[in-house]
Amino acid sequence: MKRSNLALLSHVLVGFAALSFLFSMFLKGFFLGGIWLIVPLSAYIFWAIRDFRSGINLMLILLAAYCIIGGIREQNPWLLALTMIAAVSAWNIGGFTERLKPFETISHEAVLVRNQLLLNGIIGGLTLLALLISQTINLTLNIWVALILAGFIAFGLITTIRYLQESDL
Amino acid sequence: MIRAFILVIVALILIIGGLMGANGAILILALPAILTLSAGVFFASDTTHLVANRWLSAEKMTTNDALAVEVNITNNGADIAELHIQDTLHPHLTLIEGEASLITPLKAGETATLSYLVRGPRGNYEFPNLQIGATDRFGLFWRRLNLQVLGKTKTTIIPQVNRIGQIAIRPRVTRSYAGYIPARIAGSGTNFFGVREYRPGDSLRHLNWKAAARHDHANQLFTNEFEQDRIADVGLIVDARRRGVHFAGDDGILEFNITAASAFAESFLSDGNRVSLLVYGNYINWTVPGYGRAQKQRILQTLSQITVGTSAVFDHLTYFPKRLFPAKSQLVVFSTVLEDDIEYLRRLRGQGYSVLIVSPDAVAYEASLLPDIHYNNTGQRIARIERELLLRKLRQAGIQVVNWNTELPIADLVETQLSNPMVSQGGVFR
Repeated sequence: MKRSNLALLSHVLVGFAALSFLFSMFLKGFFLGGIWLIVPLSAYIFWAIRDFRSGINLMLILLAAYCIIGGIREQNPWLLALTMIAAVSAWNIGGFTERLKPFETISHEAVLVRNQLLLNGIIGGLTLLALLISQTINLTLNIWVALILAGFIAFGLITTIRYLQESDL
Repeated sequence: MIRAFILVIVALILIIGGLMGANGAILILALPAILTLSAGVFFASDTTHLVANRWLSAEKMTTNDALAVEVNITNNGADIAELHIQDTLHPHLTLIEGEASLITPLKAGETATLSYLVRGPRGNYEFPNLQIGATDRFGLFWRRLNLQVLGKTKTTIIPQVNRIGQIAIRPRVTRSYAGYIPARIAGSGTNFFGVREYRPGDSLRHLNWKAAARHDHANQLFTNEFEQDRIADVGLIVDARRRGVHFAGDDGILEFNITAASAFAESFLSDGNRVSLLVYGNYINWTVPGYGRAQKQRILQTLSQITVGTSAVFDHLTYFPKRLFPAKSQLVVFSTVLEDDIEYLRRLRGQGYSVLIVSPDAVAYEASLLPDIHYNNTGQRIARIERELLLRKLRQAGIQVVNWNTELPIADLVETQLSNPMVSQGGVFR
C-alpha cells in the first residue's frame, strides 16, 4: 500500500468504527443516541481537514468513553470490540501519516507501511481472539481475576511510565 | 510522548470502567490500547549507538558552484523501527537537489545515507550536527539526539571573481620591482619619458638623432629615456557601513562592493602588485599586504565573511586607519560615498594618496527596488542631481571616481573607464 492511501484507510477505519458502534446501538434499540457520534467524528474531521492535532486524540478518547457506556448498557461486545479496534488502528495510522508528512523522500517506505499495517492487524486479531476465548469459556470477573488483572495493569503502568520518563518530547 | 499518554488514558478509562462495572467485555475493549503500548515498549529505539560521517564536495567554492553533501549514519546498536534524520542547514543555503531529511527503519549494522546539493551566498558555513529522532512503530516513545558528525563540517563560499582587464593606475610611489605601472622614473620601459645626453654604455638604438642634429655642438649626442614600469602598493577599501549600503530596506549594494573588490584584487594581483584589503564597517578588518595567489585567497576569504557594519564608532570615516597603507600609495575605495565622506577623502588625496573610487550607483539601485510612481521619479531626479554634485566635488579634489551602474558588468566598466589612464586637467579628472 502506498503512503497516499494510508490517509484514506484511516478515514475508512473511523467510519467503520462509527458504523459498528451505531449498529450496536440500533441492536439495543437506541436509535436517537447515535447522534452523539457527531462529536468524535467532528473532532476527527477537524484533524483531517484543518490539521487540528488534538482532534484524532479526542476522537479516540470519546469513542473509548462511548464503548464503556455501551458495555454498561450491554451492547453487542463484538461490535464494541470492532469499534475500539478500528478506532485505535485509525489513530495509529493517522499518527503514522502525520509523522511521514514532513518527509518527501522515505527510505524503505514499503517496509515502514507494511510493518505498520501488520502490527495493527495483529493487535486487532489478538483482541478478537481474546474476546472469543472470554466468550467461549465464559470467564466471570471475580475478585481473584480482578486482583490478577490489577497486578498485570500495575506492572504495565510502571513499565510504561519508565519508558515515558526516558522518552524525549 | 503525548500519544503514549493518550493511549494510557484510553486504556485506564476502559480498565477502570470494566473493573468498576465488573464487566469483562469492557476490560477486553482496553486490549487494543494495551497491545499498542506493549508494541511501543517492545520496539522502543535507542540512538546512543549511532555514528554519523559527513562528506562535503569542497572546502572552498564560489557562489556559482553547488555543494554536494553526503551524510552516512551507521547504527552500531539494536534495530531502530523508525529513524528520523534532519540535517541542520544554514538558513542562507538553498537546497537545489535531494533532501536534507530522511525517515527510514535502520537495522543493527546498517547505514542510512542522506545526500543533497546546496547553493548559497558568500560566507562561512558549518554543518555541525544532525537532529536525530528514533521511535517505535507507533511513534509513542521518542529518543531525540543532536548527533555530532565526524568528517568535514565546514565550507567557505567565496564571491565569484569576475575577470576584468588591466586597470590603469598611476600612484605617486611605486615599489622597486618591475611591473606594469608607470613609475615616473626614467629607465628601461616602453613609454617615452624624455631626452638626455648620451653616456657611454647607452644603447645606440635609443640615440635621438634629430635632437643631436639640432644641437650647436656637432659632437654632442642625445639618447631617449623611457619610463620604468613597476609594481605598486594597492590598498582596497570596502565600505560595509550600514549607512552606505542600506537602500530601500535592502543591503544588496554591499554585494556589488564585494564583487568589484574581488575583481580588482584579482586584476591587481595578477599584475604582480602588492595588495591589501580593509573592510570598514563593524571593525577594522585588515588583510595585510601580500602578493600572488595566496594573497588572492586571503582576500577572497575576508570578502566572503563581510557583514553589514552597524558599529556607531565606524559610522563615519573619522577612524579610518590610513597608516595601514604606505604613504602616497594607490587606494581603491568601493563605496556609494556619503556626503560626510567627502571631507575625509579630500584629506587623503591631499596627503598624497592616489584615490580611485568605484561607486555603485545607489540612486539607480534604490530606484530599481521602489515602485515606479510619479513622486518616486521626482525624488529619483533630485537624488541623482545630489549624487552628481557629490561625485563632482570628489573629482574636483583630484579623486578619480567611477560611477558604476550596477546593471552593467564590472568588466565593461573597467574596459570603458579604467583601461586607459584618466586624464587630469588642472587636477580635475574628466
